[in-house]
Amino acid sequence: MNAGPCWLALLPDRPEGVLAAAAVRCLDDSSQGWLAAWATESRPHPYAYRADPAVIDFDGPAAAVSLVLPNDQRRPLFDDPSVVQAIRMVAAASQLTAVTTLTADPVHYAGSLLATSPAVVLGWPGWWSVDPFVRVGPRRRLLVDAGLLADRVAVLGPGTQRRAGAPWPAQW
Amino acid sequence: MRVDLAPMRTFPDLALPDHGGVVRSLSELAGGDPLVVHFFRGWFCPKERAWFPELLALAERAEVAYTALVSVSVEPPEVQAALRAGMGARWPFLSDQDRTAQAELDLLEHTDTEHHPYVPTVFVLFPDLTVYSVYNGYWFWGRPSMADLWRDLREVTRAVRSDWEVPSP
Repeated sequence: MNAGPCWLALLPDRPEGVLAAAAVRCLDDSSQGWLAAWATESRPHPYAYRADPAVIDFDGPAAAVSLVLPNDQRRPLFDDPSVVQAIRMVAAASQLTAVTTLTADPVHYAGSLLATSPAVVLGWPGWWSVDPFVRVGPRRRLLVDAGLLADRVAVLGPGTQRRAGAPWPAQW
Repeated sequence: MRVDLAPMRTFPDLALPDHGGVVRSLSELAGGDPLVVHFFRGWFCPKERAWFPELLALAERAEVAYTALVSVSVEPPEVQAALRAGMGARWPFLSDQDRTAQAELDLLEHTDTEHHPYVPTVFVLFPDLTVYSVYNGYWFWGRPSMADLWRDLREVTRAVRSDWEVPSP
């Protein structure tokens, strides 16, 4: 999926009318619900965030996901130095298969999703510390089933700026 | 170097593995932005290590300027990844380990019979890969300075951004 607005939400149950969804588990194997994606112009669900469409791949494999979602009352500006520096650090990182920041309005950082192969996490538990957005908000460590997330990360860097309010690193 | 790699000619849309092993084309890396393509000898060259700080400084500006940057060498992706991490670079590197692009562009540095590297060369491209400027860095002073690149990217950006002049209210 490479064009048009894309939305992601972590929900307790699989919602109707989604483009794709995958079951989500915690590292202890407890269910964490469903990660769902939509391709619509308007926000499809109150808990949905806009994401880079490049992270969605219906044929994608299972993924280990670092999902940061700040409290909606404590979202920093997207141009806040803490967010910009985290983006710089992600652009320099390796072993990522999908990356997107999440937005809920034109000016604030609402969260981020970093993914890698579960095999990477198994062999390198320190991968979780790669995510610099943990300094910006609380993070969940998740395992997402196949059929939702891409395993080919978009081009990262040197740009850190968004385009017309779209989530980084989305291109035009 | 191929004679047609000159201003206002179209640069080939090379597709090579990046530092993580993912094949990327130049048009994908440009993503609709001006693109600086940097061919370099390799980590072993003191001239490259002396010039990379210029590129790091450029990247600091490019990150807010909607401008893409890519470095290309004949080193394997894992060597490039180590160099990139060691320098703190945050732009993609492409690996021409098989030297196919080097042959296509005729950019083999014949005088280095040990490494067979690229002739250090920098191209400033429009988003559609049309060449704006070329710098032959075989001798160190042939390389572009920050001022050279700033001037070139100003002109390319001015040409491609319809809102270069502040839009009227």
